[in-house]
Amino acid sequence: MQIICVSRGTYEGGKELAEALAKRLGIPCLAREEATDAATRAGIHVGKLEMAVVRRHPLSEYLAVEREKFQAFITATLCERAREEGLVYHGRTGHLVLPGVSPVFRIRVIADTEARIAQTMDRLGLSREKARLFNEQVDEDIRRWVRVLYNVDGESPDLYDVVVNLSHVSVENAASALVAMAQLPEFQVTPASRRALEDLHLAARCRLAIGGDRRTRGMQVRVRADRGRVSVTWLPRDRKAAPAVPSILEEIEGVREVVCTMATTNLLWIEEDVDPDSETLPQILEIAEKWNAAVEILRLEDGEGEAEAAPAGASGEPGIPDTEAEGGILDDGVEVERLPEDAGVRETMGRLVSAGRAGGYRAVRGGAREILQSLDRTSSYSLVVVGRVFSSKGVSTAKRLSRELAGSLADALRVPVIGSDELRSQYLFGPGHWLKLALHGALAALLLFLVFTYQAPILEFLARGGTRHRILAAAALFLFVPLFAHLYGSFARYLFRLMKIE
Amino acid sequence: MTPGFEVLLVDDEPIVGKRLRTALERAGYRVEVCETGASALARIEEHAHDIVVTDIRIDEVDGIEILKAVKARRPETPTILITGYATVEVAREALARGAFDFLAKPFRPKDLLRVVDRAAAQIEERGGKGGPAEGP
Repeated sequence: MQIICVSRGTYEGGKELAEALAKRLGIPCLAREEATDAATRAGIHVGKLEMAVVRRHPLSEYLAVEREKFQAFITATLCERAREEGLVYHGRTGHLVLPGVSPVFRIRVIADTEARIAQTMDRLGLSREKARLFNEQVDEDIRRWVRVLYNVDGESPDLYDVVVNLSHVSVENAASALVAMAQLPEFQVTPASRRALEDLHLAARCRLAIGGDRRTRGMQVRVRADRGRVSVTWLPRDRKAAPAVPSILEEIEGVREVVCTMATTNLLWIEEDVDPDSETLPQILEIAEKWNAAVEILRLEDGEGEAEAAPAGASGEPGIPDTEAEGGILDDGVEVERLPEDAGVRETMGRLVSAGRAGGYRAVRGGAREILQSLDRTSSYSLVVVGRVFSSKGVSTAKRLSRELAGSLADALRVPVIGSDELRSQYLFGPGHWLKLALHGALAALLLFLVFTYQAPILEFLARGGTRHRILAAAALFLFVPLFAHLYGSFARYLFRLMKIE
Repeated sequence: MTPGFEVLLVDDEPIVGKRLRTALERAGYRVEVCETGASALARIEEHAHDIVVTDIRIDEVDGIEILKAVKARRPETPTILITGYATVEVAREALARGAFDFLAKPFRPKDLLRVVDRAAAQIEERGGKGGPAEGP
């Protein structure tokens, strides 16, 4: 069994090379277009994902679910086709849906720019300038697609075993060389890689089953499988749908045990003007990564009255439309892919979705009372971050109101509530922490050094008789122990933070 | 939007044609539906519709062929492509060939109406019905 993934762009000859390889090896060949058509027929909105890339739109939560389903579909398709006779797949970055299957032979096909322009002019009948622009746009779209789906640079040579320039070598000669390479032991399937393939296949089938069930189709989940033991991690906002998951998965062939766990926690980020380019977003993302948490954005609007309604699925399940019966035409009342109106929130949500950390969005007008009323109190928050709020009230009033808001939230939610400017000092390792780490470490070491260097006089001091002396020794210990504990504790805290250990 | 713009709607699925026709007619457009690519090409030869809306996958004559035919005869006619099988390559090809816009299914009739209204507004800006129009 051989698995070969050919990564190709437009008019680079990748399709021809993949077909030549499959013919020589006597194994089936599968094109991305066939797989995506099958995914669309299966009800996955691949076209919507592709158009979000073309239009440079950030992914909504609805599209994040479609992305998961599409990845699972491609994984399941590749596993199914590959496990019988092997497979040559040609598409964008098929090998990325088979992580851990080490014998996958990963080939990247490229061609010279001028040759591609000539091909585009010939096939599409475009002028040279339009053909050049077309190629550049498609290349950028594909780069963006790979980034959106897999968060990697699809053109990085690290992702491939071989890069072939078909402007410099013919398809037939390249196929001959690659067939010889494919015989190397590194590209032969082992029992371990076969098992990895089976696990991926089962996980993908389970993901598709969750996405295909009316009760759970809007859930964002991570599914892992290990010899029939399937673990599903879901976001806190999906707790209403989650109980249905075990009964859905138990029906699937190969599933022996189902373990469902909620993703650990939510971080609540309250901000008036959500800016994707602010320092806060990467800091919050870093903490969310460390804690395996989802980030919920709450945009606090000034004044009273109705705020912008949360988009479909922002605080519940993403609105996944049912399109089967209507030929892809929905009712006008169906909310699809409604993104927040605020551009900053939209972009920020897109980045959170890309990082797999989106926990929803809501807008609230008012203050602490309105925020608390809007929150789902059954959600488990681990941290509340309060950014810039009440800015129209003047600096001192805004500060006071922010403090009061933090106090009210801390009392009501019983979790730490901090300002966004405190994130780095409280939870992350910043440049200033190097000095603190060194200083606390040096002082703790100095104390230890002094104690061990002057053991005899210290012991003599501690053991000396007399009430006055004993009180003095107790007082000295009383001061020394917390001082050392503080120094060593701080040193350890900064060290763990540096090592990203919580 | 000025009512009375003529829209040629090409889709091989009767339910799609019916629903989109209803939505467009309710908004004041006059709609003609073709269910095959060949019949659409024949109508394009015979008649100058103001706006063309076509599915990409119809039959042996696909939406790109219809777009090419429209652009060859009346380059100013805004042509909107719709498909359930959108890819970046197809979308970019359609836009490079002069499509006014590209809609991926599933969508709501009001999403299409918004694009058609935009096309109609552009026709009006360019000198009224039948005047020159450009894509976005």
